[in-house]
Amino acid sequence: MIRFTDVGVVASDRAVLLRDVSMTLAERRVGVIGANGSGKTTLVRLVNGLTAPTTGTVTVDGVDVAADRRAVQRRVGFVFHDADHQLVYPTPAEDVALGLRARGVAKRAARDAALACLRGVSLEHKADQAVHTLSAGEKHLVALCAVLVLEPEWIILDEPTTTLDLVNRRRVTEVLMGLEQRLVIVSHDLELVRRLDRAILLDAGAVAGDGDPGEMIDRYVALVGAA
Amino acid sequence: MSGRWRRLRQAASPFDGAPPSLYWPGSSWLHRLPAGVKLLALLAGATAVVAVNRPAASVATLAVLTAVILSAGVPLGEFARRMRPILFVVVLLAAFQALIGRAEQGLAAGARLLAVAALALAVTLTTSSTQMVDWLERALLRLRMRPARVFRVGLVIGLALRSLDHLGVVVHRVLDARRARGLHRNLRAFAVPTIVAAARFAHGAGEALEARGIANPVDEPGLSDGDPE
Repeated sequence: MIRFTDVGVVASDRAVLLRDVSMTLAERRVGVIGANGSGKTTLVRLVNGLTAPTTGTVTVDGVDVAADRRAVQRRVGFVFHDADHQLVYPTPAEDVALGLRARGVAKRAARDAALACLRGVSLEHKADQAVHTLSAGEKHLVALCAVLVLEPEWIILDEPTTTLDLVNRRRVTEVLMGLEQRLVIVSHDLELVRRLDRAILLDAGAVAGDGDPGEMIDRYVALVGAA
Repeated sequence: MSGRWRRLRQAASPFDGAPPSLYWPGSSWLHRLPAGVKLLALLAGATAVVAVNRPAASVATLAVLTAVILSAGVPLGEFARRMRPILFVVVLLAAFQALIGRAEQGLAAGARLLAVAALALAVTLTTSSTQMVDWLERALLRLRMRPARVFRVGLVIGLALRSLDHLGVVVHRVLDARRARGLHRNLRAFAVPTIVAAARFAHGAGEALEARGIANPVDEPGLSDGDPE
């Protein structure tokens, strides 16, 4: 489980990004919703150690992120909002294999695993195509594969469907819903969030609601309407 | 600029928003040839063209290479498109030599340059970045470089190639945006968004490596069973 204890994050310009966040995430699929600038991305970046808390602690399955970031990164995969920036190698097969190779997996075995993963999302035929020629949805799926192939227990996804068209959104959503891993999904795609087990509503860096996705979406819509 | 050329330049490309890679995908005999063999052939061929220094030999090399590239399934138009920038340099070179009364030498130098460029194109059009990096990694391992270092060299080259691809896309988009805003010759409208986008990519890629635990790999990366060549 992921546990936040009295977590606060203050930026270098003293802006408060998160304050007094205490909660435990144990459900299989958790959504994080809220307006732009509400602290959603900051919250999930804490889980992988990409952002350090100013106060409080974050633990993943009992491991303190600040104390052993390496161990946590093996448990937690992170899929960024901008897949274009996440794919750092020229072709999907190379990019997906990269994480395995960094972990000591032999080159051919890493490529085989990468191809198997790409086959799982119906992209094997594009394995050796230049990344920049893929569609946005395909790039998101390749970025997801690059994380999946490392077999993490948790996957954090920062707005995986927000910029996609309807066809790609459905495609990525179905892949996500079929995953065995525990997911924490930051999203403005309320249809996706509605299908999750729990939703956290953030507002101005604080938790404004936590519970059933349908209820949290209603509260979010009311919050936006009141603004 | 004639209307025809303007229409051609403004026509939607099949790679809309994404310029083509140097590599032309395929499975021809030339594509299947090991990268090391092709690189050695490039080195030997280029040395021979320069050493022999006969225009007839350069023209013959160019003709043979054109046939070789076509046999690899690369369309003639694509080959010509890739050769166009070199041809421009050759024409300038020949014109300058002609002006100073050395037209024959100018033609000879131009033919040599075209032959060497065609040789290089035969390699880049039919060798993917994966094959190139694989070959380099194997060569470095044979030179007894530590696997962790070889992995880092491969990572740097892979990142550089991906960055170039991305930068190509960025430039394409920025030029489109500049045209849409009617700022056709405004250097600032080109340079600022391009530099900002490049910096954003560098930052994002760094974070992605960090998140995947690749920035400082603790394990010895596995390079033991690369493709035999």
